[in-house]
Amino acid sequence: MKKYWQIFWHFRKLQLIKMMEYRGDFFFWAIVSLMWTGFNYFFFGLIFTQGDGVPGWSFDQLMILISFFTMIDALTWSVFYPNMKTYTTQIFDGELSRYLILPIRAEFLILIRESTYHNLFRFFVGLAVLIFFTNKMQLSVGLWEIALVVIIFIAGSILLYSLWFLIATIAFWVERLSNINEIMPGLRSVYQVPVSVFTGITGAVFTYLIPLGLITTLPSEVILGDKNYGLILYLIISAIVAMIMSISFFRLSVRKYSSVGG
Amino acid sequence: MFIRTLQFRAEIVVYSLLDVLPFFILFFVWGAVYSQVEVINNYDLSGIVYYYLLVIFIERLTATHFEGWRSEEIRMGKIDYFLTRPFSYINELFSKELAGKLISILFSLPVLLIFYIVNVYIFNITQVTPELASVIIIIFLILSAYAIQFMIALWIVLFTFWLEGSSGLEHFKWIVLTLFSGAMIPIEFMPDWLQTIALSLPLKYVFAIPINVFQGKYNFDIGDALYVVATLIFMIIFSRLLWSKAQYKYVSAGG
Repeated sequence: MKKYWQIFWHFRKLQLIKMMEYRGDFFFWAIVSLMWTGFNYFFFGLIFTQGDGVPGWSFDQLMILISFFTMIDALTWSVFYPNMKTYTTQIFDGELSRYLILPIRAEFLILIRESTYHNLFRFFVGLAVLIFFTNKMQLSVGLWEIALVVIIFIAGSILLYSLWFLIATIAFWVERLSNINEIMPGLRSVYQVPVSVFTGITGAVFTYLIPLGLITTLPSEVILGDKNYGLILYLIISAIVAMIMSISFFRLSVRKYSSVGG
Repeated sequence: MFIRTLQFRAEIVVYSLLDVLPFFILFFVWGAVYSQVEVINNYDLSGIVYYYLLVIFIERLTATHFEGWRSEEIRMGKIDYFLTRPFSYINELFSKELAGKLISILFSLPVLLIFYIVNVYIFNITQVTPELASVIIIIFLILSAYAIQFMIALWIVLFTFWLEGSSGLEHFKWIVLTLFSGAMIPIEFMPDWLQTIALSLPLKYVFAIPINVFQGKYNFDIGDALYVVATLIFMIIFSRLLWSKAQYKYVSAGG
């Protein structure tokens, strides 16, 4: 375990050195990232203020939800996307072998190797807006609520990353599908809005079958003083199941790998 | 080019699905908003869904996505042979982009049509049949919208000759286009200050105006036509100017 922990931080250090090499690029992309963050707040703020807004959610409450989305989004672009992009590219180019021959779990390296830092600002903007609206609404948030929010946030991130890994692993089975990595970012809009927005079958799908809708709704509800322990437990179990499924699928798929590229 | 693009048919179908997915979610959001009121800014729920369905079609017909890899091509010094041929780099870029666009339309149209028909049925949308004059105007606007988007993308590519990270400008392009063209939300729904900016820029001819003409909500006159033509002429001149300067900035060394 200690070895894995050391490798994890070693890669963070390497990525930091890489970033320092292209400082101009770092600041440029940081600005782009902040622009998208501002755009997201503005766009949904605009829709949420039309008519009487979204039933059951005030504007301030929705801003809390968008803040959780923003923080998850920071992880998406800082960790999930660069790693999955490298992973699928290596499968298609036949370069994954270098991971498979190392005396370490290949899936560990695949999931943690890459990271970027310019999207970290996005995380802090989300956190700042979250704190601002929590204070504005004079919500009483105790240690238990903070702990619950952190647990849900981690479970949501694991669920997302596992589903992404699962989809990216399909790259072993197809000859050419370069945009396979765009599927999960395409699904981001599911957790950009409260899950209550989805009705009928779609609501059931995004709450129970692929519980992406819970990722931002549940922590927002905890902050707003409404704890649905049943759904929180369901999200945690879903995240664990998704993680096990994605790793099993990877191990099954890797047997098919011929190292000659697709 | 046709055969080369054909290799990407699976990707095109995935891209088409990814194109419609955010709108699918958006329809639910608007559904929630309209659950409490019937009409906002003269749009009812079916009207707003109809608006976004037309946005999807225009987006598929006019959007360009070559900035990233073309900027990379220039940065890596891979355009030498275009500079010595009697066929300019811009012509090559345009012909490839156009061929790719036609194939992309061919493969994505079935997906979009299914999405359109399903939503027309679900939201009980009363479809509009535009008059012949409106159809001609819409074709003119779609072609202009494509030309506008192509040239903005071309500028980003050409800026690569000066800026190291110009591919990031692609994101700036999407934000500006989404905000001011009416792709994000009908202009009537925007706050006053944003409406003023959107209405004064030519980007409104990319989404908002063609859709309004299609729906019979906008009287397109000669002033509009002249504005579009003047914009295109300006953009062509600026592109040529940029290209003429950019060629002399290009350095490539082999070895």
